[in-house]
Amino acid sequence: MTEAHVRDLGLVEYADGLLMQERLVALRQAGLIPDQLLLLEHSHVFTLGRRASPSHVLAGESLRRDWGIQLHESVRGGDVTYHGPGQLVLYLVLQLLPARQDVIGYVRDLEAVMIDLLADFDIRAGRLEGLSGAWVGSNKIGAIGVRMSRWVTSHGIGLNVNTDLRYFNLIVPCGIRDHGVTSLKRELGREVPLEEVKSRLVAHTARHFGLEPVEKPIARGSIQVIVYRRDPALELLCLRRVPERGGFWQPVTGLIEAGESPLDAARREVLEETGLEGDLLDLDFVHTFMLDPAVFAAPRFEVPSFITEHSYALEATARAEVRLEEGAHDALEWLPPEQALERQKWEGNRLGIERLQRRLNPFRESSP
Amino acid sequence: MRSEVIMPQMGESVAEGTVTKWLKKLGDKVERDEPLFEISTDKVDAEIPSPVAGYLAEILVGEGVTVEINTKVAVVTSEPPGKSAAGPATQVSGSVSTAPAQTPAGMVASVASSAPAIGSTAASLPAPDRPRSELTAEELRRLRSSPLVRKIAEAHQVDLRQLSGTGLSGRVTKKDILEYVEKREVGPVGAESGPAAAPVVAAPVVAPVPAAGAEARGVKAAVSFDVPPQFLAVAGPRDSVVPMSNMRRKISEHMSWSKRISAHVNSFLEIDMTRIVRLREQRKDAFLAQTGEKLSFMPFIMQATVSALRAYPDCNASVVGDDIVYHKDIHLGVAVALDWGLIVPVVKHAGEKNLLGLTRGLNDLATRARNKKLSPDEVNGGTFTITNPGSFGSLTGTPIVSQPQVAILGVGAINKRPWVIEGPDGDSIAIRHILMLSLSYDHRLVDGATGARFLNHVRDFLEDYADSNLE
Repeated sequence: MTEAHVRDLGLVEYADGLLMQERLVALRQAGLIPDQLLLLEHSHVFTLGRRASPSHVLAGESLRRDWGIQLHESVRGGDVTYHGPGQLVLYLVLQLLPARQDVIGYVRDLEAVMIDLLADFDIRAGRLEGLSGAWVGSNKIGAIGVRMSRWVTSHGIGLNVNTDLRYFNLIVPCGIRDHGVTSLKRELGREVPLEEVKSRLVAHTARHFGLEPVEKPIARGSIQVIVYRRDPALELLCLRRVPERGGFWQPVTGLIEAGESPLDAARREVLEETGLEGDLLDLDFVHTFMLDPAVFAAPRFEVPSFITEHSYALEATARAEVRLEEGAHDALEWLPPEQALERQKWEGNRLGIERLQRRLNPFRESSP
Repeated sequence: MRSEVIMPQMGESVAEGTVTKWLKKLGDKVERDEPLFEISTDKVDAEIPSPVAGYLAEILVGEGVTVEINTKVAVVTSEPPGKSAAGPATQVSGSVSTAPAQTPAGMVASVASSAPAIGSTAASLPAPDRPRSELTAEELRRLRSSPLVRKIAEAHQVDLRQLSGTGLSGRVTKKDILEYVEKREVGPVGAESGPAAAPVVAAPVVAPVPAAGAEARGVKAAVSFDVPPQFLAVAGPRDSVVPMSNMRRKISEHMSWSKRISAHVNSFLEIDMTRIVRLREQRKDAFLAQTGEKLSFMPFIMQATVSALRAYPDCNASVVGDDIVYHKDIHLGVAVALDWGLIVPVVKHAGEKNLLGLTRGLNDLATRARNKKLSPDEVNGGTFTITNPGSFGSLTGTPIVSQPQVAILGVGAINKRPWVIEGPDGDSIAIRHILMLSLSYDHRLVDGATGARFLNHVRDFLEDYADSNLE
């Protein structure tokens, strides 16, 4: 039995997911960490494997933009698929021992994990000849996409628990036109809390792969606050970090201290970094990412370190004076959204800005 | 020192692999165990490391090519290429493919070609009765058309070999086949629309009855039932005989058949649009500034229609023999009058769009309809239609149901009228904006009660329009 770290990450943006797996695979290959099991959900995204046919994405760019669906290339096997809220994603970073170094065998093992899990819910799932994944009748309930790097796995499975299946209408899932998709919610006629599924998924995975699961809670929380003003056109405050701290542009950010709530931390950081105060708008965007081990290294930071970032916004008056924090930032600019987006280095900050834009625009379009 | 790099066997029962990406270029230096290329099996992509350190001297298998395991894919030499006795680095192109599947590049090539009309001097395809082994490589390339084209051909029962193509090497492109099908005037084929045909939906839209007759008769007479001769006009010397345009012929056929197929009934209802008129006045400038779209009355009516269709799904269905096909999705056709006729583009998934989504969808389709830039997908697959005789000032109209739907909503002109308002202290007269709605429906499925209630629902939605519907 080998030890495996289980990390329940919540919402992870797809790009951050790719990055974190790349880093974890490297750490695993170097023997610096044990096997990893990552439980997460993604924001609406269509992902394309290397051999995916672009024609399998039926929704054009403007439709995707209006509905807030990202499009990403991926490095896992398989054609095109959809990830979104309600779909439980399990990424496995495992070092396969020689006896298990067989791609087809590995995929079969992942299928078995899903089939056994679904049996716990009295759902009879199985395999379909020639196709991977877990199927209920001729509808796919769980998809598989795997990457191997010197027999260290990454990516894994996407199980439709309460997924909004209508998003699958906009793609030809896995390039398969003749079959449908389904979810636990559809099969059972009720929503299934993800927590119920997560623990069972970990248990079945551990059993099939001979792992001893050790839960690793997320180390730290952080906040970002997007300060904006209407002059009357919308402008966003962008701060430049001092060179010793990276020199890149960002909104107000900071780590949550012990005993603080995310909102407390947000208020404190805004005051410290800009001198401004006011009612904060909760952007309802909480996501997790992994710190770059090259930058945030031991012994100061545990490797690997994950951060869950909470996003807020603050409206400043048109005349507000911003007082920069010495040692933190050395320049500021008020920029219209398109330019502010370009300046950001991190995906999380960009997405926070996009969320704010959608909140402020009363005529935004809705989801499918 | 030359080292061969082979396609690894990634599992006991794995017989082949596809090279998906070369991570190094010819001549690049590579360390031992450094990722050199990526391969793909069904659901697994793997990074394959270089077995030795050295320089990538030869790439023998290109991206997108599938080979058996243990096949040589590359050569790594200890000296940089050019210095070794074997000569300069070589690369074989990826065109010798054992994979039956199409590559994205192949698909793009056949769809992206520009096309003049078919029947021009493009080379014809090889005679269909020669065995494939006798065909030259050139002819084989031409016979191959993209899977999309083959699918369209299959749906319309077209033998691709009968067509000349305007694509690469005379291939039949998507435009070629769509034009061919249009000219052949096969009736609307319901199952061919894009996203609407997704597997999640219960049943595809069924092709209407006239299609079979149309195919059988070829390209000649406009209306496929025989008009008894005593009712036919005889052209005299002062008359001019003009053949119908394609569009006119289609309309003629559709309208006459529809009256024969559906048991048409009409219900009428007047509704007070004052609230909507005022709301639109208040919001239209901001709406235009924020979204770039002009806000007309139609999107509000579409919203009301969607709500009514949800409440009365009989109106979003089709009759096939003794069966009723209920359509899970709402695809709203909105009739657009053109200088040269009439067309009904379809706003797909109207049920899932909000006011802005409907406005955008409608404006975009209407503009493109007028510029003749609609694709067949965009005029097929509707489950309900809205038409607007009011745009010409008419009080109302009695539209004809669009097959294979069972109902159509006619929207009249909005006129200011004196109207009785019932108040707590008695009745008074006010000037209100009044609209007459007319619903034509097929009594095979939709009864008078349902038709009337449908209109009531539309009225209630519009007269008590909730501001939250603006989001």
